[in-house]
Amino acid sequence: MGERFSAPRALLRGIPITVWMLCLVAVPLGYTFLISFFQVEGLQIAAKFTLKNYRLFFTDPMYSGILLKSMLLALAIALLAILAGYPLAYMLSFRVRRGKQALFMLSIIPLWVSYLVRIIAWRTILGNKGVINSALTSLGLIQEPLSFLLYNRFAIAVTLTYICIPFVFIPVYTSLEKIPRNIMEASSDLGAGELRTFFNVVLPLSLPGLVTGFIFAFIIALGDYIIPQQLGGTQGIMFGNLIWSQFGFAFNWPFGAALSFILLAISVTILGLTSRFGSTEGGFLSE
Amino acid sequence: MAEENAIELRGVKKAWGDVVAVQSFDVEIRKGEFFSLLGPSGCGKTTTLRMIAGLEEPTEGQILLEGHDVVRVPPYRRNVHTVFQDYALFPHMTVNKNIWFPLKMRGISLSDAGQRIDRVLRLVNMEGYERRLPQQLSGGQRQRIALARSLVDEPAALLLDEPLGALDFKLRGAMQKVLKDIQRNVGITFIYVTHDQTEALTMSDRIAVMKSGRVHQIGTPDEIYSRPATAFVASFIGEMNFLHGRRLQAQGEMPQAEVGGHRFRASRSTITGTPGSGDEVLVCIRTERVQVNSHRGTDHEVEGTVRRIVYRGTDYELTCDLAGQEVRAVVSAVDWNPELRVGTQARLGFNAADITFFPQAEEKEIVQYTTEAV
Amino acid sequence: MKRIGKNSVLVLALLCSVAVAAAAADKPVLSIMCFEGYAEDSWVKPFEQKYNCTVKIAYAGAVDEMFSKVKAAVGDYNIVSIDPGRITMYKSAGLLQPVDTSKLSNYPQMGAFFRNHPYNKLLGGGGIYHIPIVWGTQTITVNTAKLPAAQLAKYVDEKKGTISLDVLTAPEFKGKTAFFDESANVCAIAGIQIGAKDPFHFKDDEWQKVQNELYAWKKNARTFTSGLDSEFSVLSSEDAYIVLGGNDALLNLKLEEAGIRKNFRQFAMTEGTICWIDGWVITKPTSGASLDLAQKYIDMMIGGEVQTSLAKLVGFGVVNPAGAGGFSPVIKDKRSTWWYQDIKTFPAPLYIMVPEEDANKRVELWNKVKAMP
Repeated sequence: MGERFSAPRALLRGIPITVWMLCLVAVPLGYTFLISFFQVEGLQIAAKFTLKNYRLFFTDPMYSGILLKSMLLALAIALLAILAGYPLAYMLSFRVRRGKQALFMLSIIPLWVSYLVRIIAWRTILGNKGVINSALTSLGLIQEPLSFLLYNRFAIAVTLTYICIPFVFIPVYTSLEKIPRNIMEASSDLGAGELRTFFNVVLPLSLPGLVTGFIFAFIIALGDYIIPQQLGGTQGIMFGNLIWSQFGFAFNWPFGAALSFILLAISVTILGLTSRFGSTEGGFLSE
Repeated sequence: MAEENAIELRGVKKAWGDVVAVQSFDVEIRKGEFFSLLGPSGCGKTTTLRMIAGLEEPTEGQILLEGHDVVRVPPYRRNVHTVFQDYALFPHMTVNKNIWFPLKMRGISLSDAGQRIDRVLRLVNMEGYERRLPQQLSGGQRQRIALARSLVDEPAALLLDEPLGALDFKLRGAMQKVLKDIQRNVGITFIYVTHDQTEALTMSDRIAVMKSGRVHQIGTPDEIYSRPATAFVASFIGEMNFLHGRRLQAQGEMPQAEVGGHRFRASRSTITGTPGSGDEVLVCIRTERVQVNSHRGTDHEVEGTVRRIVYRGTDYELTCDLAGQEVRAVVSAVDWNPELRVGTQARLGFNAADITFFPQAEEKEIVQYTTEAV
Repeated sequence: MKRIGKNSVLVLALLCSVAVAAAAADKPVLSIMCFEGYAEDSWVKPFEQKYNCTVKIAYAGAVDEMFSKVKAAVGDYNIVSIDPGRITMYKSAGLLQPVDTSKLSNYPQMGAFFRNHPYNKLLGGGGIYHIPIVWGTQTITVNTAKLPAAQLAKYVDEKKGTISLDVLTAPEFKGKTAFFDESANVCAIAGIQIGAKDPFHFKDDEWQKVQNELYAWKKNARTFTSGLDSEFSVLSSEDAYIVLGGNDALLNLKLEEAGIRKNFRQFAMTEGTICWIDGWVITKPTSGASLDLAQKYIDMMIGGEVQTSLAKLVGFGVVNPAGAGGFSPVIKDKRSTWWYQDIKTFPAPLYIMVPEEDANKRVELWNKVKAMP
């Protein structure tokens, strides 16, 4: 399409997106990056160059420790979201014939519900007087409510996984729908049962969607601080909460900005590394 | 005797609810045979093929592969492979890996499979392409890789679903030869689905002509062409004149009919039952069998007005008016008499040996392909 | 039509404001910047009538938003509602003038605690800059239905009606306690517990003690809370029975609304607690008629009538006991924040919240505690 336009016209066409990117992405990011080298004097940000914000991160093991813990949790959540979201997408794409569209909408309906409402809903499900405990108590299976369900890392993982499932489901479903059905028939025809067709054909061909879903889930989980705070109980400190505390309580925006940038750098690195595996052309898939 | 057959269909039927896709198909396909399923789109030929592959389950009937009923056997356990119309190569695998796939499914490692892969690549003349991905190949090349992939583990039969349909005309001709040569070399049974009558006639040992789920005729190309079983087969293959006639009292062995005041005798009639005088019949003769201003004697000669002349390179197609009905005749360019022009009278000669009568009821099944329409 | 409705269509509002400005040109104007609830029609309208003036009200949603607005155009506002924690910030930015309390007829009725407390002089550098209007405490709410008196007796001082902070570390209540997730105030209360003289300015040796104390609290706690809804949810879902929180009156009202307040009792802590105050400051450029109106408005707000309205409306503690009549029975109840009626009756040491010595350090300490396994 683009090759027909003369250079100046193509340039003109690029202006709106460039302005948009500049205003909404480049400028705020640039500003954040800039103040991460500033310091606080009194309660004001002073434009005096310093590396102490970054130095603090690298010298105090608390920050890197929490970052590592957050990354492990985010990784676990991303994998759980895939374990839950992939089979859902697979079933819907290959097994359901009628009402596919309606089921697809049902699968992504959670996205229409406010994020906070969903957190409160999970608190209601997992709490001492919550749905699970009430059910178990009324069935006589337990005497005392199970307290390990809420206010710990388990609750964070469950809720964040739930939040992330649609973000895995949508790209995976899209990539599964894109697989020509006769390729799967060919696989079956050439001697592969469903399982081997899945591992040899479906999985590699859905990898771009899977990687996209993984990245979505991982980055959402890594950056979230509301769910750890609301449902994580005394174990609820994640890297996002550290950043938040710098902006909300310490009034130390430069340090908060530095922490944000470290998180951003990690996210971008992961994005760069994993997106290479998502390609079906070249890359490791076709060795 | 069943062992001689690669594939046998016994009363195979396929219906989706009330819609019958294939009705009661019986055939025995011999080992090493090039067998074509020919018919217009929607005739049930692909469904039949898919039932043999196991991709569809027949509603009724038996499918025997090398003597064993495989109706309940899943596709991945049937010793037949399909070559899909759009090739269905695995886009994420190189040519090498694509061809290795059926062997891999049999537990053969890539290194062990090397020789066999090389052999089929040579067979389809695609050596040197091992490391390419399907999207780096042309249509014809992909077709050949798909073929190689299906041949590498030497299946009992190869099922080809309009394999040349997506290729351009010239390439299709070349690939027909390639396919036929390969089939002869490897000796594997081919079941070949096509809607292209030329393809079927030139390549096949036998052809099943189908329409709307029904098998009209199974026979060698010659049988199909020169002794069509129904008006549909006659119309679908080659170029045929269908004239409306009226049954006359037979004189001697041959049935007779009257067309526009002219009496025609036919060497063949598919009309069953006691012929009633005056019944309507379809009087059929191939366009290339109609003699125009010929000096050789013919059984019947009539005058017709030339309505249209179409030059087709190697020949001319002449359309004449015969008492209100159109008769087409193909005249070789070598024999062409330039005095024939639109509006002049032409002498049309017919031989009884070339004439077949079909029941009038079959007229609705006729498919007319005229040169203008193609 | 003297004041423009907030929800009017923009164009209409613009047109009207021109008209109002013209009509009110010769009337004196009082311009207020505050949080919602401190400039209600019920007393603003009579005020305008009584003094034949115009009151202009601007609202801010957050503390820093308010500060930047006032700083940007200090001349546009006469009085601002702030808490003592912000006095230094405003004062050092040169935005404030001292308040002449002799002009406030209701000032002598105000609780002596507020009048005599040195926070004003400390923060303002001598003069009185801040006139309190309402106050609130940090308290411990206990589920007495689940924890009968016998179990609590060890920690409760029934004579005073207080509970010891020791409940937070009581092994028998492990996994049954909760406290708020906010660095400055938890540090201050932990500071009170370890016996710090000034919970807002720790001495060098106190930091580690505070950290240890908070860690002990955390080890015993089921969860942290994050505001009113969170406190209510933890208590009502019985995920914790003992909650240290900062929304005492509002929490009681919410429990009452849910019909379960009879199961709960709120205590001040025997060791003492911290309290916040909202009040008024007068901006530096205010003078003449506006200054006069500013003083009159502040005076009205600490008077019995408006204090009663405030007690009714927001339910926080009143600074003038004359307003106590406005409280609902929920607040006056012995199981609730009964001390809101008169600061004099508060049963334990009370520390007015002032800017902490190092917000950063407290955040870091709190993050450390949270990060500890």
